[in-house]
Amino acid sequence: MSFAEDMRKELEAARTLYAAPMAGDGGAGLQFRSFLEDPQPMDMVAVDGSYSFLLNISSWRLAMISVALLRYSFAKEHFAKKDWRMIQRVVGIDTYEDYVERQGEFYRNLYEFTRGAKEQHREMVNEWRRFIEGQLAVNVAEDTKGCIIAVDGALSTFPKQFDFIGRLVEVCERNGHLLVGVSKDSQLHAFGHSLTDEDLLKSAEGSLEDDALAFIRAPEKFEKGQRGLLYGDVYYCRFHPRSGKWFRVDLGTMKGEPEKAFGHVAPYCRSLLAVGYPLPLVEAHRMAVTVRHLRGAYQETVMRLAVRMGMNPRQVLDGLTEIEGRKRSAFHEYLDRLSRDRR
Amino acid sequence: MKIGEIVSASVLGGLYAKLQLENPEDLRIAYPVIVEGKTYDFYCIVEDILNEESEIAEQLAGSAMGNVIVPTGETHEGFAGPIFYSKAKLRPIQLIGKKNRRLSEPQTIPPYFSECRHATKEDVELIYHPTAKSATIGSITGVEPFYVQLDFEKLVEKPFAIYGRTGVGKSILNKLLCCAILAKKAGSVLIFDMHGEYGVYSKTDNTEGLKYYFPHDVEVFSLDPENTEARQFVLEPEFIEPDDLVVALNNLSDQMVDMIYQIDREKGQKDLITAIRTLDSAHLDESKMHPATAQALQRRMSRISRLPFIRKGGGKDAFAQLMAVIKQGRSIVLDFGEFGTDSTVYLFLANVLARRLFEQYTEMNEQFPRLIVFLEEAHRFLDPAVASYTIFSKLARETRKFNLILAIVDQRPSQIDQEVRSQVANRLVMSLKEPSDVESALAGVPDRAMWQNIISTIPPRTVAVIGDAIRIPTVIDVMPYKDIEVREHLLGTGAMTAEKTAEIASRADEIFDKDDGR
Repeated sequence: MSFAEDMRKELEAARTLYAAPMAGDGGAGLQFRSFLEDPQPMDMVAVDGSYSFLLNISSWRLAMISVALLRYSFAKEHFAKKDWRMIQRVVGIDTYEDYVERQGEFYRNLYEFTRGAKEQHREMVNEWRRFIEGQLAVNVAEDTKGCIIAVDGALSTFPKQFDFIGRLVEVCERNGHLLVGVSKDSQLHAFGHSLTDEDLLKSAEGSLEDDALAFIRAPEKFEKGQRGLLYGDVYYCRFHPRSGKWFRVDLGTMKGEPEKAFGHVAPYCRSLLAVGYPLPLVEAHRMAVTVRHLRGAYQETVMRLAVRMGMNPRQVLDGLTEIEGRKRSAFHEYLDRLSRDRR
Repeated sequence: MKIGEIVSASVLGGLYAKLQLENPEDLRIAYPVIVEGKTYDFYCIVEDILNEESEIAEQLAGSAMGNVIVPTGETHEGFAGPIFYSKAKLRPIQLIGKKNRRLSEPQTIPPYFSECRHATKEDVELIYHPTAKSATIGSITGVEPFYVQLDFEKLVEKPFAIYGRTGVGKSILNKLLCCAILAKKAGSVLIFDMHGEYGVYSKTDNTEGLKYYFPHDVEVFSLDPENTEARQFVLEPEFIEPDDLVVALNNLSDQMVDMIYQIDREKGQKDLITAIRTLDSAHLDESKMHPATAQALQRRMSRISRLPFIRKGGGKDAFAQLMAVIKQGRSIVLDFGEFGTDSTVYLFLANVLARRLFEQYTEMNEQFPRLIVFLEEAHRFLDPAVASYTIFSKLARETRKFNLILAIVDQRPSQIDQEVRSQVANRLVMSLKEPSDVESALAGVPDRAMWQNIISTIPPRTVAVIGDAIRIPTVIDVMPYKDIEVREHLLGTGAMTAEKTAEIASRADEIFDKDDGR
């Protein structure tokens, strides 16, 4: 069988399985609701984080986590930055059990929560990042009143012992904040269709009026089946009529009034830079990922410090990693380079 | 006001600043900017302003979407300033020591993230020190308001040039320079006044002329016999030489040029004009002169033969009077009257006078004060094709030691002989568009590429001054040529206010009282 025949066979299967529903039919049963922009939206506090691995010695890795928080107001077509905070933490990660046993409770819980992940070191740093994001959001929610607190991703959390999202919801309720978690990309099939939710909703949005802002709530059974502790009601939102996609939005407060809640978020989604997605989250992301752009500078610091502390310079040099923790000197890195260079 | 931060730097290549301006249009080429280093303030000028290529910008541009907000400095504040930001390329010109405020050459660079701000009046005051013979011709662009001082003694020590295309304000600049030279007594000037602009009042815009401001220091000669306010200019024909005719009668054939020299050699007691006019083409030795060429030459010469100011003056040749005026340290405006639009007359007279001046100055140098000859349309004398026939290339090359200084005024520097251009010590360059002219105007200037950018983009009435008459190369907004400005900034007498009028009136009374008492 030639590769062309393989290709035809697979494409045929996909055509059948993932046929996009036509407007008005595939969307049947999808209960869209429309809403309007609030002309005087609350300030938005956006939190996002990132990380970069720096060094890998044996199974131990050194990573830097960076979490950015930005507060914006929106008035007269102007996104005005009012405040910012940035947290940077360097963490050591090892999935070797002897190492894990010698660590504190937080680390051990993190390890347990991510056990079985394909690249556990990445998963652990990722969850650690989310934890710091949550802590920072809680702190700011304590200090302020009546804002939109927008965090990146779902409003779910890992072990109950570190239930920062629960605390965040509490503080937001108390201080009159609107809490939303906006997921950049979602690959879920909450609506039980072979298409992912985002693709399904995009293909079915033809039934909406052209200029409508709209949302739809995820099925109840989906919410119940979510891993970990889910604190928000799960919605998919089109915050701008020309938005390229529907974003999953977890609503942590104002749960009874989604129209009002999303009406406050929508004005922040009008930037041409990212139509349909809140600009403050774009900026918080850009700020957080500077940890990746500046990785070279951080690695220089690692080298200087390590050598000064008496570590073997060769070992340190060989252990410098790519962003996701792969050693630069790893053999497959060399093979990749060779393949790119000699293609 | 902070306008940005340094994001890259090189001693040779200049500095790049990431701008934090909401609108890049607030900054312009040639504006002075201070970059605050740790040890020095870097006095820079803006060499370029740029929006760098951006994949995202290309992707977003042209999106036809309603109700979206386009990211600009005014609509979007990013986490580190504007999301789409402009950059400025800055050229360090001087370093200012932070502690001692001493100036030095830019041999180093500021650290990353050094703050950039607009230069203030205080900053530029450190750079431009006035001297005994300095005066201003305008204010520095981008600084509000600072009048830059040029050292006119240095300016007139050596040949200098004023370049700029038509309509950008060369005449105004010329007038201001002449006023400043006379006001600071840096020398006297000789002006070929084609359009009657430099006498008492300008015939073109009725502004005050040199004679108005300096009535005792300026003498006006006129080719126009009707002009009774000026001395008559009469040129004795025997002083006319072949070169004068070759320059004036543009595009003579080689045969005609040869014939002029042949006639000059054989003219005997006659003057050259008469010799050509009376040539009998019917009886020529055809081995030396062809009759058809002779007739053609006579036809071309007829215009010059008819000029009323070329005549036997009975010893009244105006040149002797002219030299007497120059010896007194006074300036001369030669009013062309009705001949102002006749370029042949201009070429002819300028060459005749310059040649005779050159002879006088080189022979009796010690008797003459410094004289600056303003030569408009200089390329017509200094074009490589005719330069060998004119005295001006010699004048540019040799006369600084004789106190006779050439001021070249031209719109086509590329057509001026390269050797002459290289003699120019100071250049005042206004807007030029033709690339060859820009290149020629700036030949030999350090950082030429930067200046080329500036000269190609500066607006009218703006001049880049490059040379030893100014501390650092500077772009200047030329001040208006108005009575109030000339008095205030060049003559130092200030504007005529009600108080001053009253004061003069009271002094007049005193004078009359005194007279009555005699």
